[in-house]
Amino acid sequence: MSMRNRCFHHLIILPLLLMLSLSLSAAGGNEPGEVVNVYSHRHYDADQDLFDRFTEETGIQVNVILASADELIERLRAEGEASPADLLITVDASRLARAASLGLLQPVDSEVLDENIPGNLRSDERLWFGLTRRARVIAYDRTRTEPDIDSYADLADPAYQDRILIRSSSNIYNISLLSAIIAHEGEAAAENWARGVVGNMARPPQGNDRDQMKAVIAGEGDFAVVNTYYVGLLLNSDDPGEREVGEKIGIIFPDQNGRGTHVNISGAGVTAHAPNRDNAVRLLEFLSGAEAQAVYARENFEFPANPAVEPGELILSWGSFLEDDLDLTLIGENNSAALRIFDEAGWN
Amino acid sequence: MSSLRYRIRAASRTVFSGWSVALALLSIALLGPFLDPIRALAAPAGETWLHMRSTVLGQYIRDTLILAISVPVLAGLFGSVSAWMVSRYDFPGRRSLEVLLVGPLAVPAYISAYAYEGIFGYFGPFYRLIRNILPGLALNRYPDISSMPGLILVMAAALYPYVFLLMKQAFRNNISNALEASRSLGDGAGRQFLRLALPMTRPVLAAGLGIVMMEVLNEYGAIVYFGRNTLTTGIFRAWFGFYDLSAARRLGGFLMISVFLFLGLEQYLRRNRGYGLSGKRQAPLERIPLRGLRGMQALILAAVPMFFGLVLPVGRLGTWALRELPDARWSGIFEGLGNTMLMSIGAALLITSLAVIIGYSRVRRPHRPLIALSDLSLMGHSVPGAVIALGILGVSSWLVSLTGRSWLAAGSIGLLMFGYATRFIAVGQRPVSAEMEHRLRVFDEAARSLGRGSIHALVNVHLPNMKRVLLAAFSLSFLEMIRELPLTMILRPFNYTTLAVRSFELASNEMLQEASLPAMLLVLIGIAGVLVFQWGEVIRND
Repeated sequence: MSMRNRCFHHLIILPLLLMLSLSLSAAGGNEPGEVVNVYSHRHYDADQDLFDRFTEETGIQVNVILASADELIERLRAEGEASPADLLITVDASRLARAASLGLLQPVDSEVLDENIPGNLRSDERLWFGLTRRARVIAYDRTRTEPDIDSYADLADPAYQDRILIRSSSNIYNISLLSAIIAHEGEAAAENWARGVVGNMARPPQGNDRDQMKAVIAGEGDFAVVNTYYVGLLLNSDDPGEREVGEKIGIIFPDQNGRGTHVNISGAGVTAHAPNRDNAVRLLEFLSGAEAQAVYARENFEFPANPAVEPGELILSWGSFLEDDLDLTLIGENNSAALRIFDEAGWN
Repeated sequence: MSSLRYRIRAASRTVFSGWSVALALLSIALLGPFLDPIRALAAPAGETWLHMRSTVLGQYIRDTLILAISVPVLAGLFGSVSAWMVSRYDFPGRRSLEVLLVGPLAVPAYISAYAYEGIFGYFGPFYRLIRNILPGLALNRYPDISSMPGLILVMAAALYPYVFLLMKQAFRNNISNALEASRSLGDGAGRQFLRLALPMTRPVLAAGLGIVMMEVLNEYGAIVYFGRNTLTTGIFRAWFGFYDLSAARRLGGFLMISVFLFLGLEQYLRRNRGYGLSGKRQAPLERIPLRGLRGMQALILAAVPMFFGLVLPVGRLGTWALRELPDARWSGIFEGLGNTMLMSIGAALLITSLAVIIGYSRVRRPHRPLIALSDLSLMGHSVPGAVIALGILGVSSWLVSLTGRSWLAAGSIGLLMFGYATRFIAVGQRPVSAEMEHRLRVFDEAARSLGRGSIHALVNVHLPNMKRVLLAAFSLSFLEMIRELPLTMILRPFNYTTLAVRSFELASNEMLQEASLPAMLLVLIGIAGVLVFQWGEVIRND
């Protein structure tokens, strides 16, 4: 009886002890020495390798929390001046613009950054800087389809009925693409475009970018809208089925005779209350430098933001293309309008 | 002598009101993160809300209703038939099957959805095989797994174990007397199940279906992947797409009100039907041995849900994981493994303890407003974790500015634990409360008449006799915890990862193969958790 009872006293006391020890171990985790605290939406192994490399070079420990940019922005807001974060990294310009408009970022004057990152890939106030570029392109099956589509507008052309594959409108890459169309052509034209694309969809939006390309190769549709680096990831997949898909995929850079292909960035900004501001700037400079930029290109098949760095072999094989040089801040501003148009056009 | 008795009575009265205070405080604390959404319902509707109402809200509600009804129905069918088979019959393989049937709880639904697409997608093994057999079959003739029926199957196969676990306990321990009587009257097996076993265990079934429904309402990843929209996905669209917090809160409030209505309905059903179960301890149900062909049939019938919930997704994950073994990044995986174990055990203990305090308080002080408040605090299970996390961020920044204590800030383990308790208290509290309600009405007066007060009665008399249900609460919360994703991601300290987080990070980069390794480890831990749970049952039954 008494053994049993003790058991149940423990049941109540144990979690309290455990919590105490956990909080102590968490509190004791901050070793003295130089650190930089990063909130990042980039969940890539290559990024962790770059942080390790930075620590090796500078002795500055990089602490990381990975989550979606929206969640990290909310956390930054809730933490306010007490936030431990020094650097916010996102995979999309809209989120950087949003963080900036909420006053969560501070300007950074750095000759290194000015030299490494071209003017159109950073905010005018130098609140954020692009680190890599991603082009939103049209993929097709080289073995089966004539690439007779050459602009985003064609995706909405009734001639392509039941042939277009594209993912859901809750995906930020699609939101940014439509935001760019709004910025160029206005809301009415953008809505016509969205309705046209919905009318041409080969199936209701589902799955991710890789799934759109698989559906193209499966013959469910002919043209899929995807980000470039997913083609690279398919070609280097461990799954033979995915490699097979990657090998058949051809790429069309839309709007080469017009305003150029829609390009988004993954980028970073130093937080407004960064306790380790100087280290954050050093990390940002390191990430914009030749070594890190080459890693982004080689490991993750992204276009480097630093024009001095060659893209990877695969990217080079696609040839050079005309980029839409729209001010990326405008994309962020049109996000809500884009979503409203998606809803009205019945784009799930 | 009489003054001593008076003193004891006075002291125990203080303790009784202590139970009400405890119940009230705990419920309010657990409700804290939800206050904003409920308040938002009273505020005037904004532009985003009007836009959503005129365009997409109807579709969100339709998909939510379809899923919230059909997934529990299918999961209820899976769970109760399997539970009946393993409790009523003995057949070859039954013992292992009992463990494996709970296994799907260790597979996050979104991972399962990816795995299903990996099997039934055009390039998956299933259609490869079909194409080899029937080369001419056109693509549009293939049934598509990413359809509403496919989603219902994937989710029901992931969630039926909640029903299975609760129903198995009920079948094993609460109906044997009535069942023996029915059997001696010559009722057949089907009749015993439909006419006797199911009606008698209706409250338990309702509790199981309730958990499944809440899981359905908060699911995000699998639903988005299959291209569907529910109120939950709508919350994220309003919040992170339109950046309209008030519209998101309104949707959240909407969701919570419907959950509350459902909880009320469940309470009503329970009250109306009575418990049907006597408080008397019954001998465990004798199993009827089935051999040969009938044994095989029983095994196959009982194993159907496990096939969909465990064999198919884990088979896919397993082949991916094997491919990944040579160049896996083990350091992150091992770190995630350690953290997952420590955090899940800690949180499950915390949740079980809170469930005991709340459950006992509810029985000791069954005031209607208090019970209603405590019912409300179960809502966390139906609200998407990210919404709770953001609610907790709000509470935390308020507390920190009030007290200046950093242990209340985001990134502290204390806050993370609070988040887990808010989120999963229902998982622990439902079984504990159900057991306490029917057990304590009978035993509590007797126990307390020994004169040592209610804490004494709780610790020395009731808890030792509730081991199994406590273990059930602990293991169910543990199984929830190992999969927990959004709270951990948003509230965690720096450089902190778990297996679920790691596999999500990889999957969100569309690196499903790489994600399969941590996901497989997660499944193995889950199975270990189920084994511990089963082992507890065996001890008790001896």
